Order: sequence, then C-alpha cells, then structure tokens
Amino acid sequence: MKWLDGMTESGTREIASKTSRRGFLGRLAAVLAGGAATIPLLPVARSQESSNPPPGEQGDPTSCEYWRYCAIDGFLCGCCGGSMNSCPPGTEMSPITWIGTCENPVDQKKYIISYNDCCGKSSCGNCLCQRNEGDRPLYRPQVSNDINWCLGTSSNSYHCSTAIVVGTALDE
Amino acid sequence: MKKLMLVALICASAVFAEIQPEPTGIIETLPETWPAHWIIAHDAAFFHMSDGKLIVLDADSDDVTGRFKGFMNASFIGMFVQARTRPEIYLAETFRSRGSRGERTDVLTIYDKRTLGPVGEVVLPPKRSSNMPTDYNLQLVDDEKLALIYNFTPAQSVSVVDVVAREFLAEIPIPGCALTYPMGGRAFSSVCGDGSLLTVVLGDDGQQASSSRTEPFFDVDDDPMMEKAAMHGGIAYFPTFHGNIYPVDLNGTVPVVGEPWSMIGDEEGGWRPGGLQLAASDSSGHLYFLMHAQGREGSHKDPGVEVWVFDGEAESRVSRIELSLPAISIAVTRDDNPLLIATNINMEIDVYDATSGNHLRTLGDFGQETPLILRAAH
Amino acid sequence: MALAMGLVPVAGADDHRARINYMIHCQGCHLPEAVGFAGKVPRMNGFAGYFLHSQEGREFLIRVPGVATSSLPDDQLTELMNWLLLTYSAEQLPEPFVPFSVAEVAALRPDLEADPEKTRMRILRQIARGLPSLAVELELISGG
Repeated sequence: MKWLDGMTESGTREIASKTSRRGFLGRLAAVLAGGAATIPLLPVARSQESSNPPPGEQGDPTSCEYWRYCAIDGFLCGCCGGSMNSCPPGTEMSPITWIGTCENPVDQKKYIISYNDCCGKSSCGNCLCQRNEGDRPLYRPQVSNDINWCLGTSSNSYHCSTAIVVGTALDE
Repeated sequence: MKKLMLVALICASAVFAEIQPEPTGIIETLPETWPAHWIIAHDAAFFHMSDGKLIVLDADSDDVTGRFKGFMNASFIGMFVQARTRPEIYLAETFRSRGSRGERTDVLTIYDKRTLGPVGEVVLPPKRSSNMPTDYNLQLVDDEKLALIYNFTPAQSVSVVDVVAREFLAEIPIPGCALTYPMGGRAFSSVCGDGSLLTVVLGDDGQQASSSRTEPFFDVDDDPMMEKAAMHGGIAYFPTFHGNIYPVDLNGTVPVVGEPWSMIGDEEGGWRPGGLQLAASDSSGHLYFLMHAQGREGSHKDPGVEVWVFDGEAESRVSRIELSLPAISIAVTRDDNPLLIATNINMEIDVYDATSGNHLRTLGDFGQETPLILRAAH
Repeated sequence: MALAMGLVPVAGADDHRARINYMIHCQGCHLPEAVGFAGKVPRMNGFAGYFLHSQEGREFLIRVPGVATSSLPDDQLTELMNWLLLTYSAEQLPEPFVPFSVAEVAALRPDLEADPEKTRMRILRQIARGLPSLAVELELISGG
C-alpha cells in the first residue's frame, strides 16, 4: 500500500498549498483531506493559542485529533468561547444529544462522551472537525453525528459541539 | 477649434457606434426543460446555514459567466427534489423569525424552474429533520402528486404534502426508522434501526392505509448498510460500510430485498465506499460509488479518491475512474453522454466524462462555499 | 429509593453494566436520571412503572423503537429494563413486580410498535381507570 500512502500525502499537500489563500474553505478542505489520509493532520482546526488539557488527558483540546473528538462532526466549542464541556456565552446547550465512546490514550480506558450541541446562534465557524469512529447512519440516530442535535432548545440553530465525559465505559 | 473637435467627434462616432440607451427591468428566465448537462449544486452554507443556495450551472461551459444560470435560496440545510412532469422544484426549508432565533417555521417551498422564483409554499409541522443533506429526506411518490418529508424530533415521522393542491395532508409515524425511499404507487419505505425496512402505503387522502415490515436483512453492527443508495429502475442499490451491495426493488408496494453482492471482490488495498453523497447512477443502469483505500472503522465518510462504476444488473465492475482530487459527493447526468460531477475537497466541482473517466474541467468560481450535494438536472 | 431497595433484586443482573448501558444507549434522548423532555421525549423517571399495570403496557415498553431496535443483545436489554424500572420508577410498579425475562424480551422486540404516541396514550388511559395516581399524573382527574 506504499503507493497509496504517497499519493494521498502528496494530494493532501497539494490541497493545502492550493487552499491556503482561501480562508475557511481552505480549512474545510484540509479537514476533509485529513479525513482521507492516515497521515498526521495538517495544522488546521487549531486556535491561535493552544490550550492545555485537563489532568489525566494529553494533547491539544483544540485539535481534531484530540482523543475525545473521535466521533465529532462540527465546530469545537473550545475554539468558540466555550470549552470541551461548556457552551460559549449566550448559547443554549441542547439537553437531547447523542452519546458515544472514545478511548483515552493516557489510561487506555474507554470513556462515555456526550456530544451536546450548543445552539441558538449561527455556525461558530472556527475549528471544524469531522471524525466518525462509531458513527452510524441516520437509522441509528442515537449514534449518528450527521444530525443537528439542537433539539429541545429554544432555537435549533447549530453553533458548536462539546465532548463531555459523562462516565467510564465497560471493559470489553 | 470648436469645429475641428466636432469633426473629430463625428469621425470617432462613425468608427465606434454610440451606446444606445438600454431598457431597465429586464430579468432573465430559463427554459422549461433544462439541458442534460445542467446541474444543481446545493451549497448548504455550512458556515452560515440560513443562507444555503441551490445553484444552477452548465457543466459543459468553460466560460465563467455562461456557466452560472442563477440560484434559489435554501434556508437551513434545505432538502430538495426536482419534478420530472412539471417545471417545479420542491424544497423543504426552515426559517426562524429572528434569524438564528425566534419562532421556527418549516415550509415546503415550490420553485418554478423557469424563473427560479418561489411560486407557492406549504407550511409543514416544524419537525423536519435537520441533518447533513441526503437524497432521501424529501421524495415524491404517486406520480409526483405527493411529497414526503422526513421528520426527527427525535421521534421519527414523515410529513405528506399534496404538491398539486399545495396542501399539507398528514403526518405518518415511522418509529425506529429513517428517511423516505419512494416506491410504486402511493408507497414509501424507510430504513429501520434493527436492519429491516418499514413500508407505508398511503390512501388517496395521504393518510396511512397500511404498513408492513421486512425481516431484518443487514447487520447493523458489523457491516451497516448506508442510507445513501444509488437508484436505477426503481431499484435502490445500498452499499454497506464494507463494500457489499444490497439491491432492493422498490417498484411495488412491498420491497423485494435481493441477494447482496460484493463491490470489492478480491481487490486488495482495503477499498471501501465513503463520502457524503457517495452513490449515483446514470440512465443506462451504471452505478457509481466514491471509494477510498485502507478503509477502517470511521472511514465511511472519508473522501473518495476513485469512483468505481458497476453494472447493477450484471453485478460487475465496468470501470474505475481516478479522480483528479478526492471528492465527497458525486452525481451523474442522465443522458447518453453522461458527465460525472464531483465536489472535490477544495469545494470545487470537477467534471469528468463518465464513460472515459477523462477530467474535462473544474468549476471553481461560482460564488460557492460548501457545495455539499450535486444533482443532475431533469 | 427506599422502595427500590425493598424490592428483590433480579438474579444474575449486573447493575453497573445496566447503568453504563443506559448512559450509552438511552441517555442521549431520555436524559440523565431518565427525566425525559416534555413534549419530545417521554419521561421514565417516576413513570415507566405504570405500564406494568397491564399486559399490553408491559409489552409496549419492549416494543417502543428505542428499546426494540437497540443494538444491545437480549440479555443485556432485559437487565437494563429491569434495572431502569427498579431504579427510576419503583414506586409506580405493581405489587408484586415480575421482572422481564430474557425470553419475553426476545419474543417482543421484533414486533416494533407502529404508532407509539397513540398506543401509549390508549394504554395509559386504560390503566388510569383503575389507578387514580396515574389518572392524576395524566390530568384526567385533578389531584386533591
């Protein structure tokens, strides 16, 4: 599979160079390209100041590669005035949501992640991520990230996504 | 001196005709039937969703001004379907009275293809599913008399609208099931969370007349069937995460699930289908799927680097098209010289000869931001 | 809580596993503590036990889409349903409480309920006729 690695990598670089002039489109393209490749992600979806992870976690919580975001699809609230587990000012957290599990590389434990959306304002526009581990089609809505989960909020306008640890999953 | 200037002016006007005054108020219109290589790019405006657009483009044109025909607004991840028997496009939209907030109104907007203007609307229950756009959130049945709109609150149901009389008729519960796949007569199917299909037959009042369910036929956990099917001749070809195809005949009012077959065969490299709108068909019955290599858990929406073309009836691969850039969505025009159109990861549209696979052009400058979904014009 | 502890635990059940399964498979829509969301998602806390006052209601609980089409195997689904009833709605359960058996759940879940909202109200009204506390809940009669 060496030839494919090479192809994808050069393809991704080409995309990066082509899109650098194009604001959010470039970022979107890079996010999508990152999805296509099993190579290290391009320096996208990072806020200007990188933030520190809480105790027991490692990595950059404003990077799509951060462990909690294994099935996130949308804008990271941590780049929008909120955090991994809080909504930006003036938004509303959807109580109805979908729930998945991600493995924390620090302790190799699987944690239960609640991807509550923050709602009531238009798209945050910063730190767009798409990862789909454990995501399933729309007929399994309880594990589908294609859905705008701004349900049960006064406005269904989607703003950004949190990734809240709500528990520890069972050892398989 | 004055005379000389006048002479010079007269001479000049003899060479360059003076611009005549033009009438104001001219507004262009489009033909009732659009050429086969016209396409609709759904720019869902992921970064400001209330300003989505359905942009009409001529995929044959290398001329930036000539290729852009106009657009229709599509608010908050609209879902649309084209009629074949009327010059109309139906679009399910969501509005809020104060932009990002305020009272929510869902409508089915009726657009005239000749003017690209709205000619009617039907107010819907404010329940339509807000999800990444698919072909199966909105479909037409009953010889294009009834429109079906998928709802998710998270309770699941389908709104039924008479698009001829332009009135809302009914809301049909489809518990545990999603989307709406058009069938023969006044029937539709939905895919259910246990791996079965629910089928609802409607009466002429749009209410549910009967319903039935198939046995679960695919493995939701180990090799889930995607909800994104390629349709040809009333048969929906559903790919699975691992590259198997379930053909489901939807021509009658009871779906007939065929034997699954593999798209991958003994091909090595871990190829799998993936993308947003990853499946398409042409009028000859060829099926097109976006494919990526080294597939893994979570890669089912990765952009495709190739399009694999299959003969649905023979269940065999016809060709492989290497894409000039990876793509997330595809469509194929429905004529004898079909074009394959693909939204690449640069958010441009690549145009290929679907038969030879040759890359013809890239449509890059049409004011687009996130043209997530493509459709060929009918 | 006192009532729940007074009830006989279901033999062989793993409460911890049931709680985790609730979080992963139900909590997204039914919310923590199974409180539901008015008008959108039914409340189970302080309520689900009412359904066991009729055979049809008992069957309904397994035939609703979230339960019937869940990805859990029959045994874990049974364990989860019994745990849920005892943990969040012990007070509403009939006496004696007969836990769901795996065979019962396995037999019921393929028969997905076709119109949960309508069926739910019909079943509840029927049960409320013999159960004043439910009638008050449903505002069929005023609670004095």
